Formats: sequence, structure tokens, C-alpha cells
Amino acid sequence: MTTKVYGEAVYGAITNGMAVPNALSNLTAILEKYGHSSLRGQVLRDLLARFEKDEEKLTVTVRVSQTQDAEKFAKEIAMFTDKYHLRETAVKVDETLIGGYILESTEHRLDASHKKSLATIYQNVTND
Amino acid sequence: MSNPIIERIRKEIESLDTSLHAEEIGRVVSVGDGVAEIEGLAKAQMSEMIVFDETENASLEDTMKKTAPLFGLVLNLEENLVKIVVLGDTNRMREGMVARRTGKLLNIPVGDAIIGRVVNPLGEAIDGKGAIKTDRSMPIERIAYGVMDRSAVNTPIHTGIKAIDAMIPIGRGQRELIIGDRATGKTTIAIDTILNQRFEPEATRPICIYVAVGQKESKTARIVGELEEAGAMAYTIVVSTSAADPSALQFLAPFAGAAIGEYFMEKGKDALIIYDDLSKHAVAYRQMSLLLRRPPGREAYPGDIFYLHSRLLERAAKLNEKLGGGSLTALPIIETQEGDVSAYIPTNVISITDGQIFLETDLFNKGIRPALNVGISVSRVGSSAQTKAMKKVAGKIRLELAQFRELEAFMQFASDLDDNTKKQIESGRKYTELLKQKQHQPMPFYKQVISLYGANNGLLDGAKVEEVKKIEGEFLDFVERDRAQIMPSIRDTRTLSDEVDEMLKSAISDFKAARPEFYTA
Repeated sequence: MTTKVYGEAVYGAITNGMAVPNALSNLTAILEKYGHSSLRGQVLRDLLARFEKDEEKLTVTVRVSQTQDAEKFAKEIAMFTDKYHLRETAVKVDETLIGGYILESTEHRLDASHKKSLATIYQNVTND
Repeated sequence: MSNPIIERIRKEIESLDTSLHAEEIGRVVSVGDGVAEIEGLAKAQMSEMIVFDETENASLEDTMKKTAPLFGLVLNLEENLVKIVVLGDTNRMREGMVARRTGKLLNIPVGDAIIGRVVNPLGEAIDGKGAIKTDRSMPIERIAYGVMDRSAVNTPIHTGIKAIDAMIPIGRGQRELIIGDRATGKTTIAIDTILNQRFEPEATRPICIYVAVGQKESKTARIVGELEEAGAMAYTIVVSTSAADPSALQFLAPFAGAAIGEYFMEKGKDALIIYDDLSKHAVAYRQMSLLLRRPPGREAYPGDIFYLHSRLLERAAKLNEKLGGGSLTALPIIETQEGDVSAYIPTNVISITDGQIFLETDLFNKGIRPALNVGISVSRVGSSAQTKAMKKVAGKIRLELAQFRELEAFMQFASDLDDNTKKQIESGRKYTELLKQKQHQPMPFYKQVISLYGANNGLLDGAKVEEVKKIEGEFLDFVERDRAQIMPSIRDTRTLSDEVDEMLKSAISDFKAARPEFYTA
């Protein structure tokens, strides 16, 4: 719990514009002041996880059924990236998609896979 | 030559909507005891339906097998997380699973096709009779109609139980609580009320909704069987959640029932809803709230338990003519422990409803069934909805029974009592006997009127208490057979005209003359 509180405080300071070396030296001083120096490693790991999560938020994961498809859908990927202000692109191969693509950020998903279309047709045909 | 299956698939392919929309998603962080924590879903709303995506990394074959989607309901919005109750089997969930917003508040598909069916709180058929085709959906949670949308309760809903229809009348749009210990006949009263609606003309017959909350499935199956056997499923819908269902589904069941009832009410029809029972509903809500880490209050129930039941029961209403004049009558059931009506949930629901029907174990064990304590049972608005015929005969019975209750304590000293007191006690015993009714044998109101009229006008004078039920049955047969115009007149006019009054008086004297063997006391 204490670790998370320290982590959140330092993360807040850095994202508000404080220089990283300053924030970390201040953290060390504060931890020493309150007798929490042993938590330093844990706080830094927590901080790292927070920045990694931020990084994830800026990444669009492109799932395609074969690697070369990623280039085929470059235009769609660019549109999605622009719309949600994403920066990084990670390509994953998922053979179950059959064809098409899925673009995914932490909060949005665009599913243009053949698997989805075929499953929808199957459900529409069998439900009636 | 065209194959219809291929043709069908071709049409589906041609009409497939291929437009793309970005979905708002989150990922499951943890799952436990029916509650899932989701990261993401920043724009999720309270009571919004969420769909869990079980098809990620699944093959097309496996995806096609997953016909029933797994839903969740947003109940807690927190700073970094959304807490969702899972409306299904949590074993289907795993960490990291995608949860997708639907943008819809929880609603239930409704339509006339739902009549006669057994459904779960999500509106899915569970009676094995196939999917229900509906054209509308109603929100499960909604604000009840306001004052200006309503009109006064003015039409009776007959339960078919003499003691209730005579002394605790219920009106269409009223909320009347049925309260009592376990095995005192609470459900029986509710089921009898449903069965009795078959005597109503089809045009004014209420659509009945029986909501089983956390009941044994065997009990619900028995009830459905009884309703089917009596032909009552033709106007009844059963919303069922068993004790084995997740607490979230049990919590939703009464609201789903209310949504179905509102659909019919808004069409200008009358509907009757039975919540069996709200004690189990409160327990399910307590479980859910504790799992959502909401602060517990008295008896560990959450602070909004009163609001939960008040907002549910407030949805019972009699709409004004402008809105079609439909109604939704609610008969909630509460189970007490050792007759303790001062416990938390019973007092809450007593204060919300427009009256109570108290059932007592002692009366039940004495053979007085329905085990109704008429002394403390009340109906606050129903009397204005009582038919004139019933009003005319019910006044005396109430007085007789009140006097009988006062004298009941002296019954063991019977030999020392004066003649007048003895007579009053005897009369009270006969009325008590007359009000006894076997289960699933509701009596249409016109027969009740004749039976009570007879008791008020000397039909039982000179008869033994043990013969009362026999005399009642024979007298009703006699009137139906030999005075054929009486019953249709009361049924159609709902009044007791002077002419019918005279006919009944002569029927009583003729019956007594024809059957002297009953009058030997």
C-alpha cells in the first residue's frame, strides 16, 4: 500500500513536468526521512510499471492472420492511430482470424476480421 | 435448381453489415464470487450491459459454438476500475479477457409472445420451447410513473379467497404484501390469485407475472405445472431464478418482472405481479453489495436496501385514462422468522406497501387455511375498489369476526357463559369455518357474495359447525341449478339488487326446507 502511494506521488510529479533525476533524488530523501528507505526498490518498480502502462496506452496492437497482411492494412492502421492519438505499433499474428485485421488499443478495438464476419453470418442463419 | 439453405446463406452474406465501428473495451483484471474488476471502459455508465468476449484466440469453430454471450452489469464506477456483476457462469471468465461496452442500459425483450413462457431475468426462454420472438425491449431499471400519470385505484382484483376479497380487498394498481413464516401458505395465496383470474372476462383479465427469486427449481417447476394444468399459463409469465443462480440474476429478477408488467400496463392492460419472495431478494442484494465492497449497515444489508424495494414497488401503478388506464398490481411476499414482523426487511416492506396479509403458523396448524390473521391484516386502498355486491355482504362478517376474536379467550369456559355470548362464539366459529378454503380452489366473486350473503342471512343458523362447508357447497349448487338468474346478475352488474336480494332470501328458506338434515343443532 505504502509503495503504491509513493509510486503514485512520484509518477504525478514527473507527469506534471518535474525532471526525472530531481524527482528520484527527492524520493530518496523523503524515504530516508520517514524511515522507508527499504521500499526504494519496490517504489521504483511500481513507477516503472506505471510508465509501461502509459506506453501501452499509446500502442496500437495490430492482429493479422499472417505477417505480410500488416502492410496491406497500413492505411486503416494509420487512421486508427491518428483517431486515438497513438504512437507505437505492435504486430501480432493470430491465425484464428482467417483474414482481415483487428486493431486494438487499451480502450478501443476495431474488429475487421473474417472470423467475426463468418461467425455473424453463422449466427444470423442459425438463430432464425 | 436452388438449394434453400445455400440461398439463405447467400442472402445473409449479401446483407451482412460490413461497416466498421471502434468498440470501447476494457480488460478483466480479477474475477471472484460473481464480481469482475475491469480496467478500461472509462466511459461506462451505471447499469450498462457489458459483453465479455470469449472468442479471442478461439478458432472459428469454437467461436460459432458460443451462441449465448456472457453479459455483465456495471454496478460500481471507481477511479481506475469498473466493477461488474457477471450475469452468468463466472467459470467462463479468465484474466485479461476483453469486456466490451454495449452502450445499452440493461433491458429485457418484451412482447405478447412472452405470455405463457418461463424466462430468466434476461428474457431468455428457459422452458425448452424455443426462442421468444419479441419486437420491443423495456429497461429493467426505470423511474416509476409520477403522481400526475396515475389515477386512483378503483377496480378490484379478485383473489378468489373469500377472507381476502371480503375483508382485505385488493385493487388493481395496489401493492399488497403477503407476509408470514415459512410454510404458512404465502405462495398458495399468490398462485390461487393467478388461478382465479380465469374467471375474469378475457378483455379485463390481468396478465399475471410470477417472479421466483432464489426458489428451489423443483418448486418453480411444480408451480408452472399447476398453472399449466389449470390453463392459467395462457395469461401468465414466469420469471425464474433458482437458488443456484448468481446473486446478480436473483437481484435482477423482480425488476425484470416489473419491466414485463409495465409493458402490458403501457398497452392499457392490467397486470398482476408476484414477487416470491423479497426476503431472498434482499439476501441476494446483500451478498452482491458485500462482494462489491459497499459498506454494510444493519444486519449487514447495504444502506440502500430500502430504496431497492421502494423503487421496485413504486412501479406498481394505476395509470390515468390519458396513458391508457392500464395497471400493475404487486403482491410482494416476505418470509418472517418465528413470526417476527419487526425485523429489518419486513418492516421496510410493510411501510412501503398499501397493506398486508398476515399469515400465522398457529392458525395454519389449527387447520384454518388460508391461515390469515384478519385482525392485523389490512388493505389501505382496496376498499374503494371493492364491488358493491361484496361491500354489502362483507361489512357484517368483519364485525362478527372482530367480536369472535374478543370472546375467543373465553371459549374454554363455555359452560359458564351466557346464551348471548355462546351464540356469538358459535356464529364466529361458523364464519371462521366458512372462510376456510382448500388450496388451488379459488372461488369467483359472485359465488363468494352468495356464500357470505347466506351466512349473514340465516343459512347457517341451526347447523353444526362441521356441516358449514358442506352446506355452503350444496347451497351454491342449489342456487346455480334452481335460481339460474342470480349468479349471472351478480357477475355482470357487480351489485346486489333488491330483486336479487329477494331471490336469495327465498333461496335460503327453500334450501333450508329442502335439506332439513343439515339443521339439527
